[in-house]
Amino acid sequence: MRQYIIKRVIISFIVLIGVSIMLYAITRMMPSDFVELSTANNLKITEEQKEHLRELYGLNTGIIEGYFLWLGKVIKGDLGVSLYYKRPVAELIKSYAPITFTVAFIALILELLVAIPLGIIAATNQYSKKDYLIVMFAFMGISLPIFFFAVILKRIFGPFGLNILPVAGMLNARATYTGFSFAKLMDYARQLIMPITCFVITSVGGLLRYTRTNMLEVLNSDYVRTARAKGLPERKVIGKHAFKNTLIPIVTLVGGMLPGLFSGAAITEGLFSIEGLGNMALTASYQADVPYLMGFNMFLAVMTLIGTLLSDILYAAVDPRIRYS
Amino acid sequence: MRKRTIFALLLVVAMTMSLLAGCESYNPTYDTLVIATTSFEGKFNPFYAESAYDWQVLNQIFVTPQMVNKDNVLEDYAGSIDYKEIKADDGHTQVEYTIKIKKGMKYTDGTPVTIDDVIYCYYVWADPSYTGPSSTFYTEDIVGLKEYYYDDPNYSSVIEGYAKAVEEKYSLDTISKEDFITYLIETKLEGWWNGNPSAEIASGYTWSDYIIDEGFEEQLKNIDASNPDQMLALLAEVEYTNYAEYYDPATWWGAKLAEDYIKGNLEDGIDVPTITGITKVDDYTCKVLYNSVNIYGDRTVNAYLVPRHYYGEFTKGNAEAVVSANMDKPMGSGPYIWQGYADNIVTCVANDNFFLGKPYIKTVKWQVYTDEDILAAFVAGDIDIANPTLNKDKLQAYIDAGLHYDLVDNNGYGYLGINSNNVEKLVRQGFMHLLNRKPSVEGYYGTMAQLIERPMTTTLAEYPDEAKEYYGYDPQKALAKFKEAGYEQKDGKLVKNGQQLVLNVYIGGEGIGDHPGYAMLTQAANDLKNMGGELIIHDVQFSVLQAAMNSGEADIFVLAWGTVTTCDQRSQYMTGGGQNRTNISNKELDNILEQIVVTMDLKERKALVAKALDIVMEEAVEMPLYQRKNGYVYNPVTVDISSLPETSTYWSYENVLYKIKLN
Repeated sequence: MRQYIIKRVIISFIVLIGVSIMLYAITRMMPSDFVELSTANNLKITEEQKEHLRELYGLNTGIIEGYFLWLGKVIKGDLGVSLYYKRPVAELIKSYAPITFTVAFIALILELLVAIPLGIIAATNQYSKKDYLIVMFAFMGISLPIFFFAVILKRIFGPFGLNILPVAGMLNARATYTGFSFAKLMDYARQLIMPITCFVITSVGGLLRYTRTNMLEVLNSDYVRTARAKGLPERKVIGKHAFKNTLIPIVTLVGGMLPGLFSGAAITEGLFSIEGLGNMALTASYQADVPYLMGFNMFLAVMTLIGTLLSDILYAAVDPRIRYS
Repeated sequence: MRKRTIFALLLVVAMTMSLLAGCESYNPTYDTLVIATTSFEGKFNPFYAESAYDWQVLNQIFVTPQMVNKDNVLEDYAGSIDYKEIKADDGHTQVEYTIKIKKGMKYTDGTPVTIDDVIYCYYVWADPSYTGPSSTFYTEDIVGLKEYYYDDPNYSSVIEGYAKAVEEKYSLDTISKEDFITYLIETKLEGWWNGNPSAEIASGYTWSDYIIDEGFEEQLKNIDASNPDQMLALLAEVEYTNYAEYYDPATWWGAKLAEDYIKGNLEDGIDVPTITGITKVDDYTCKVLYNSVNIYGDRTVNAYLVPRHYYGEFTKGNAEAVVSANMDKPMGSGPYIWQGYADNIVTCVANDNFFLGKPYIKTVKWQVYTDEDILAAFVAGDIDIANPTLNKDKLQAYIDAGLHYDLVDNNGYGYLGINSNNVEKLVRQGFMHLLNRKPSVEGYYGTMAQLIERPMTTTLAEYPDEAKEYYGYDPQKALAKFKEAGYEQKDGKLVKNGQQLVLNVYIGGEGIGDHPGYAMLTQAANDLKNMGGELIIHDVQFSVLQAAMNSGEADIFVLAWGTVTTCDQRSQYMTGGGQNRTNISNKELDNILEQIVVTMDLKERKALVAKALDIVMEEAVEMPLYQRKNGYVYNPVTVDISSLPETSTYWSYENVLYKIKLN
């Protein structure tokens, strides 16, 4: 196992180099220029000054030269300074990752809590009213555009409806908190109910359908038939034999969700005025902020590789048939 | 005598009473003001902040010697700025500005404010490494400034030499093939080359197709067509051979020479350590000497009082690294003290030692809200003040919610620009006749915007009020102009030399035509189609529009200028100007624009502006569209409306936040 992990880590580094080349080339090929965008409203700017700024920002290099300059810095642990935010990229990721991660993590837990039981109920009651209802709910979630769903939620729970939830923001600015307190935690929780609901409803469908399909497959397998033939009660057949085996692909799927916990959802974060990594990445794309986009995307690439590795390790942990050497 | 004594006593009593009345107790129910803002860039540093929202906060933390009043005229604030004209040794007129700051002011860490901090600000702006929004400061005609920037006492002869060299060596007539190719490769064909050899440059048309069509099929066979560098080199060859006259190597070479020059000068040690035209008189006074008259010199030297000890001393050429290190803890001497930025909320508390008195509101917070949520946040009582984007329906919703509001003209304007390099003058003029502006703008904004007849914000005193419509909507006149340009209608198509008249326009309507100019364009597209031409409308995101405009891909674009506070339009309309988006080039116009900024008399200046803008209209490179209004909305439950000032484009509650009261 250890050998396997070491081998995978080494391969991951090679993959990362390939990914970084692709990412850098794509980022630099964006049809926008940070200098033009940032000086768009500056009535005193001259062409000479724009060239000077490009030189200072390192944007006057070709893609290949620029890539090696960037890589040289990254090897020394420097992800560069964001052109737009004017702060070190690593510091930005460190500051804004917690909120993005918290929202996504809570949403993921809720998704699992909703998707797995509902998926199992749907599968065990295939083609019943329950099944159709659950599948319809899943499809509605998948099909709902998030910006539309957010507006509906705001209308129902905001001041023009039931008036029980705030429409946006991360904290109620009217309140003043000193340090971290239970009241502050409750305020955060209240503010995040709507964005997390949005995340859950619009993402749960995929996981639910995945669980349902896997469960159906497992329910048709021989050992389940044997368990039933043995005369085990249906509760035990589902709970002990089928459920455990359904979990195997789900565990691996969750491992692959790791980067998603940090990438955030640019649109949802923006809709609820949450300043997270996703919303910042969207702004950085609009502003052609090459260092931020590179740093952020590489961070996600690393997370993806870790996620995939974790999936594989978890696969071995939950499925005794699999052994790595 | 006794009567006089009694009268005097009565007066004293009356005055004491009035003073006591003035000292009425202020015990508000609310102690925190929440201001809704659109977004923060998070650059809370006066040298780097660019977004108006970051500045909303910084303007409460930093002060300047003078501040613009409600009529856009500078008046004394934390000091004063005076000027006098003096004669230089050679007899030409120079202008000397004397900047004074008030004595006794302190930063919020208790350090006294001195004139050294103002001078520090100038030196940061003038540093060759500085990239912030004031980095154009070195172009000011201050004595010794350019010498300092280029780090060469004889910079002018060198720069002149470069200008000469550029003319002799790098103009279209004189440039060598090698230098031309270098320029094309370095600029990636002026931004045209996208770095991807297999990309399509038009639908179903690749770079390779283009190279073959331009007669370079043989050369294409000899290179690896998937290698970006080899393809770029070949494309440079193609462009040099077939289209050299459409490129401008001289500007790029001029900039490059200057760039290498500064770099070289700094590398061999600092030769010019100070700016000779900036001198300290005493701890509270300094002087800035301009080499020529500049009507906006006072605005330029009106620097923020930024604590030098806090933002850090630097050696020349290293300001960027030192000053940009502090982006999230601003400290100044303004009415409020920075507390922090977290959870999309900026918190500031009152500076009890503010030089104009203790602010009434103890805590002010700025919280990010999207425009769509502002009304709901007001109704929920979560925010107290906002300045949302308004149109007629939105305004009515705020009124219906019982909110108080003020409307002011925005200091900017919307326009449609045409790239004169892509579209010839007669066609531009014809196109102007296809623009039915009134229903388009009024349908979108209602009474929240008005049509303008010249490309300038009406909030400037120099705007030509008498100007009449230059091109009315009239498709027949448009067709006549197209015909005058040589186009004729053949088989239902408007053609010239076999080519149909096809124009493209870029507009930022969020992909759903959400723009005051969109309806006008669809009508123009329809009219042009009826004539046999075509107008392709690209409704795109701003950065895409910007890229298309800069690369020359966009024939026409719809944009707006914001935060315009002066009538200096050299950058927009002068030949080679940094923001000359339409590539207009007119010698007469260049001269007038130069005259405008040295004409002190408003009446004369206004006449010159009118003349300049008439030329711009005649050139048909910009169609002025609208002057819109901004709105401030207040929650009368929490904010003491009687404490709000009379607002104007340049003056709002933000200018006197320390005087605003809560209920």
